[in-house]
Amino acid sequence: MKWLFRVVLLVTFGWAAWAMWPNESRRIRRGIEQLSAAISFSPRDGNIARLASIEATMSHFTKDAEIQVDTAGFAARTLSGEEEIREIVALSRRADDGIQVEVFDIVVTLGPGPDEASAALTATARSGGTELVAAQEFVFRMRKVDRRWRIQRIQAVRTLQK
Amino acid sequence: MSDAEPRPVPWWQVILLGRNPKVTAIRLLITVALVVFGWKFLFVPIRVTGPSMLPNFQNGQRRYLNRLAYVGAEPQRGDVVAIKTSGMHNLFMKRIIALPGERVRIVQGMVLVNGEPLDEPYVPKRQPWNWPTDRAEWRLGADEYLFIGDNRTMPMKDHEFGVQRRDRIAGKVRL
Repeated sequence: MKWLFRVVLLVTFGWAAWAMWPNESRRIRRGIEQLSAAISFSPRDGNIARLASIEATMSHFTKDAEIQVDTAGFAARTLSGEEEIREIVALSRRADDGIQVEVFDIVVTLGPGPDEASAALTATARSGGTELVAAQEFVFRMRKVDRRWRIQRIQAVRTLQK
Repeated sequence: MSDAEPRPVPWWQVILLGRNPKVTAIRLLITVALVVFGWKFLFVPIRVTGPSMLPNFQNGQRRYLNRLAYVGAEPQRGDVVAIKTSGMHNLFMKRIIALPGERVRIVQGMVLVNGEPLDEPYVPKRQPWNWPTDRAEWRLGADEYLFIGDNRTMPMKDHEFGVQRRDRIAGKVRL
């Protein structure tokens, strides 16, 4: 039984090391998942919680961040800079039914610079916890600022080109 | 010394665990592994969301995705397929309308492939779509397909359709 104990111990230590010292790709993935959690809010959330979620969302962006959205059913739009993004995030907090954003299939590519990376992902948004409102592919361009990965640019990608 | 008689297995144990619980456990594990493998990699269960494949596929219906359909076979015009996004979690369900190398355009809702009108019995009603908007016609690349949903009663700007490479086809949707 000694060998079994050693194997269990080794696996436990390996898992702990993997969880405690994530590599850059996992840091980025975790950051994007935290962003989706920050954007999401429930209709039961009070004003303070909604305000806090705006700040939590903005903490994931660089000051010169840019968001390009061009999806079916919505007008193409580009948001430039922290203020414009903050304005839209604040506006979204007024949705009566709340918003639930989830991200899936995050594919991280590090580079070209040491503090640069990009992440392809699919995000879904639901309102009122029921029907799927939208599913959209995005490419996030990330930059490491103050030892933390932040979003410099979000670009919506059309899965089908037309 | 005489061989002891094997203890009779209680009937409830035979029903619940079989005559040999170890063999039953192994069989169960193999079955679960095969089902999980099959559902993950061969016949993936999917749920239809949204109106773009109406009236042939309703919102909320459950279907299966045959991931092996195009192993050794080419996707065919009229096939209903699932198209990957950045992964397999969210898929677009569309019909293949035009094949690699073909010239295609939509005039007043009618699809023209290489200049010939396409017979589309799966589209009962259609809006007068005109596509492409920036050129006379779209010539598909050597590895490209045109995918459109069956619901052409939607305004064109609200209907997600277009061109994508073959490697984005996740599989064929089973009716």
